[in-house]
Amino acid sequence: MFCDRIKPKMNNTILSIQGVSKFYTGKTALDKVSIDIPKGCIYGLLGPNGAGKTSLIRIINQITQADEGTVFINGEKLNAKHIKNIGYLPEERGLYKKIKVISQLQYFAELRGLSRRDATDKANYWLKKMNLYDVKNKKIEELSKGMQQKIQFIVAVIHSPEILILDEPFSGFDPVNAELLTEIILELKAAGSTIIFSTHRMESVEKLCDYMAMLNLSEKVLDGKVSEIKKQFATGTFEITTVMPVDLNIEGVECITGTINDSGYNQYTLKINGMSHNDFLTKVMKQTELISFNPYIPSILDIFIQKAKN
Amino acid sequence: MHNIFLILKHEFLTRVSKKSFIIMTLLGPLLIGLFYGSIAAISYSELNQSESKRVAIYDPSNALKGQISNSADFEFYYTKDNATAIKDVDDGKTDLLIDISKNSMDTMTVTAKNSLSITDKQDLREILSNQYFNNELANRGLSIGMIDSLKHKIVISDQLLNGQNSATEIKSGIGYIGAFIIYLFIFMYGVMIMRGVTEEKNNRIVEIIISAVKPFQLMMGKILGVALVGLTQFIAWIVLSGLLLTVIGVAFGATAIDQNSMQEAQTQLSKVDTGAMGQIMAQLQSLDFVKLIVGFVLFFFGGFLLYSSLFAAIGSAVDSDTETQQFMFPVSMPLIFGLVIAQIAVIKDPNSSLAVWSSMIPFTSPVVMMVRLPFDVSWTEMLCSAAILYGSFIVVVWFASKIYRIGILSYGQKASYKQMFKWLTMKG
Repeated sequence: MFCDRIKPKMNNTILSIQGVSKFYTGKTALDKVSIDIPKGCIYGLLGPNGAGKTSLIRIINQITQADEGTVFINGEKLNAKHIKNIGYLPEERGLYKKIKVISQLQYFAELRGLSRRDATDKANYWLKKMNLYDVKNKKIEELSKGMQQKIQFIVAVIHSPEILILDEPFSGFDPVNAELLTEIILELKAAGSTIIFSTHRMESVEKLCDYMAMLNLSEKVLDGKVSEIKKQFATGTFEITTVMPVDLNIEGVECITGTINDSGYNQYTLKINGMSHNDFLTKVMKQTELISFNPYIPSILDIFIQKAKN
Repeated sequence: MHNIFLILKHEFLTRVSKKSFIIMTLLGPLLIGLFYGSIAAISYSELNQSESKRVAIYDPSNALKGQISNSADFEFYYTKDNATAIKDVDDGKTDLLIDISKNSMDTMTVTAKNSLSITDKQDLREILSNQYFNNELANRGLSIGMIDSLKHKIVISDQLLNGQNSATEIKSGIGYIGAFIIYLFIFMYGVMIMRGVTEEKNNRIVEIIISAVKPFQLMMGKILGVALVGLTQFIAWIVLSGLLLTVIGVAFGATAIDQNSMQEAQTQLSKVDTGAMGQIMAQLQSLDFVKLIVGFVLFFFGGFLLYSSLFAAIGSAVDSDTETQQFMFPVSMPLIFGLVIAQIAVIKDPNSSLAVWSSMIPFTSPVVMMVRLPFDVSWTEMLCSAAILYGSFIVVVWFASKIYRIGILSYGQKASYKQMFKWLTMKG
């Protein structure tokens, strides 16, 4: 078989996407994207709207097929039996409005391969966990928007999937429910599930993701461990805060930005090359009082903007 | 297969447990009964409760020879005084005045306070012509008794080569009722499928479902589930109508009609109608019920499957019900055409080439073949047509599912034929 040439990475990779492309009439949605997702992590799939995130998710969910490339789950080529291993919360939420909560959950769980009895047990378990047990016999249209969102989340996790794909998971949740959702996601991770987050709101997942991949204009522009990516982008960049303005015309120092922050202090972002940090700080302290000196850690958004510019 | 079954079960149970379904199923026979009952009641009261009209005849030349017999609608009397009669009409004591003073039976003047109705005019014309006819015969020496004895009713007893009664009326009736039921259910439940598909697409539920099952499985599960809902309702109606008729029969039989009049009616019936009733029974016995029932079920399901896969494809291509119109028309045309053929060609000649051909073409065959079935269509011919129908269903459902699987995920595009054609060749 031709796919034998591409061998999936074994070790602890649960989902391996290799050279996947998807074309629609007149446009390329994905251009040879390769991503490896380790087992048991929270993986951020980031990028602006239209970058190709949803196209990739639909391929993993077998809603559409890749025009090129292959997807492997646990080293096995993606096929129909993997449906029960995957849970999916689509960006566009949808439930049957006129059907009771419990019947709806049973139906979706059965479609994911659960027996009727297991489906009922699991539905009850999750309804209790989400504080929704009282409304199990109500129709969806009788529930508040927040409750509907929670039901939708239960649909995604009810069959205890190995891989949980959440497309814009926090949209439509109020802060209290968003917190509940975060807790549950962390619980699922601790229990061994792999969670894939897809979002264009990069700041919202910054703290949650262990790994991430960035998509822009149908291509992967960056991927890896979040902490390493940040380190990589932070090399030699620092932030200092001082009481009075400082003359930074010092050899070996490159000033990037200088502003006055909310507290009225002067704040500078700068690169230090070819001189020790102590020497630099001595020179600053001679001029004014130093409030803080920190290595500058860029946000994911900063990194994205930097990558997108290139 | 398991997934198709799950979807079928879900579609069936949700639809059958809907209030609207239960109400329609229970009230259906009652409503139909009420509808026909009220029509019958209205026409009955029209016929019997309208008072007969008093008609004055002014006939100074004695053209009618003073003879005329009253009918249910008219009560005649002769008047010698035209002016008084006119006054009576004006006062409302008399309804009509017929003036034959011109001594001619060709033209008569009828005077009334309000305009004469069409039926009254026709009835009067008939009564007066009959009277004229009878008078003229009497002039020529023939009595009315003699005339009546000359009238003779001939009964045509048609039979086939094998000596069996050809039972044309019963066959036409059964065939046409069967065909109409198929036609009605394809439309009612086909549109139900179309709506269901559009609803799932708009609710975006479809994305969750087809991440778990293949679009084809979803479509088939839906079609089969709704077909079963239709069949359930149909069977429920038959059972309920049966019960209703029995209940009405028992209630009225026991109380409203007393034993004597019952017996009287029966003896009269047996006197008058033994021939007709016997004929109907003989006709019914000559029908091949096994073939009729097998044929009905085959064409009911086949037609439904064929059309509803098209309806499902339309439902997937559009974003709202209002957009479906332009696609509904070409899909429903052949079905309507089939019913027209069934009404005209088949009733006139069930073996005409138009009837035979259209009972083979899959888009018209469910309706047309049903009408032809009672008229000695051979098993081979019927099964051949059914095979074409189910074969076409497989081809059509293949095309429909290609449109469906792309359509349900395409939002915000105005659906067009060009677009659908593109989807046919597109990879999923």
